[in-house]
Amino acid sequence: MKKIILKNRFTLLAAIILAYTALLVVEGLVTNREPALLRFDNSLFEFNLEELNEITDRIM
Amino acid sequence: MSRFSFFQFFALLKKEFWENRILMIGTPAVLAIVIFVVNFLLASQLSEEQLSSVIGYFNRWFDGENPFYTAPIITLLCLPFVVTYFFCSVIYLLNALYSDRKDMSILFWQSMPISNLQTVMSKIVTVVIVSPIFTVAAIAVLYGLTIGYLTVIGYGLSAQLSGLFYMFVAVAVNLSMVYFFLATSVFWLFPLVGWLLLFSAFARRAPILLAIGVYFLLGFLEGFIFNTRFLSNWAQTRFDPDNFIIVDYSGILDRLFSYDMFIGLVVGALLISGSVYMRRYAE
Repeated sequence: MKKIILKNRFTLLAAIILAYTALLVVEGLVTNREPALLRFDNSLFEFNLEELNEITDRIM
Repeated sequence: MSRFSFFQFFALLKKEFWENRILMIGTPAVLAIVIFVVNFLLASQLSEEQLSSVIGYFNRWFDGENPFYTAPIITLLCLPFVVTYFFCSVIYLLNALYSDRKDMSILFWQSMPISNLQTVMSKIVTVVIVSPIFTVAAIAVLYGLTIGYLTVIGYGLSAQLSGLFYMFVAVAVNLSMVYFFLATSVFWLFPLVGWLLLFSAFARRAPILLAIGVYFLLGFLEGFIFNTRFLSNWAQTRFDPDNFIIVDYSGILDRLFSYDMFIGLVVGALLISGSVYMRRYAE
């Protein structure tokens, strides 16, 4: 396994990215991290792109 | 750590400093000079009465107040320095392991009794400890010059100056807060540090394009194939300013020793270990 991963720099990069993605997906599943890609809510500003979609639907 | 290892690591930090002194010292120094000159030009446009009332405002805001309560007010003035620090750090991390492969000096450094882990650790310590020192020093000089200027002007106008002493103390508290914020935000953004170092160690050319492009490609593939958003959601949580901006010391321990900080360090450590192994492929 180690030989395959360390075969060249591309296999090493692929292995690390795979491990990184797997770790984030498992962590996201375990903690049930809510996907909030369209919502920006912090102390500086609040912006919800989902609401923009609703507005567009109403206009259309 | 033995005495030899300590001096070896110290020499690596000195090397980082000498190679990147423009980024670490030059950039915040130029920014401080620009802000001071702009402030000086603005102040020179004011009449004596207006200047006197400005000093009066400062006097009333700070006089007799607890510096720990007034220090966060000044944090906003540090914003240009903080933004500059983050941009400089990203540039530094992207070039950290790329430039020595580009000019082939990696062969010289690998012939020295220094491990790849020590080299990568020196880059991280530079970003966490060394670089914020110069940023905070530039802010301190700017504050010092500004308070000195206000004192001289106020003395000439016979204005009340006792509040400026409290302002000076608040500035000292604020500087410690800014340093603490810069250092801890690197820990919060440890996955980003690891990602940049990984692609700095990997890329043959244009590490910034690879680092950004691969992340967007991964996010796109995740959404396209699995219809999930774990990667983009993770990035959004990391970059949310509420999660890592520090303007006062209240509740600081809860944020430092939280689960989110811990998982960020784990993910960052995974990527950094990858960049250490990546250093094997120098050609």
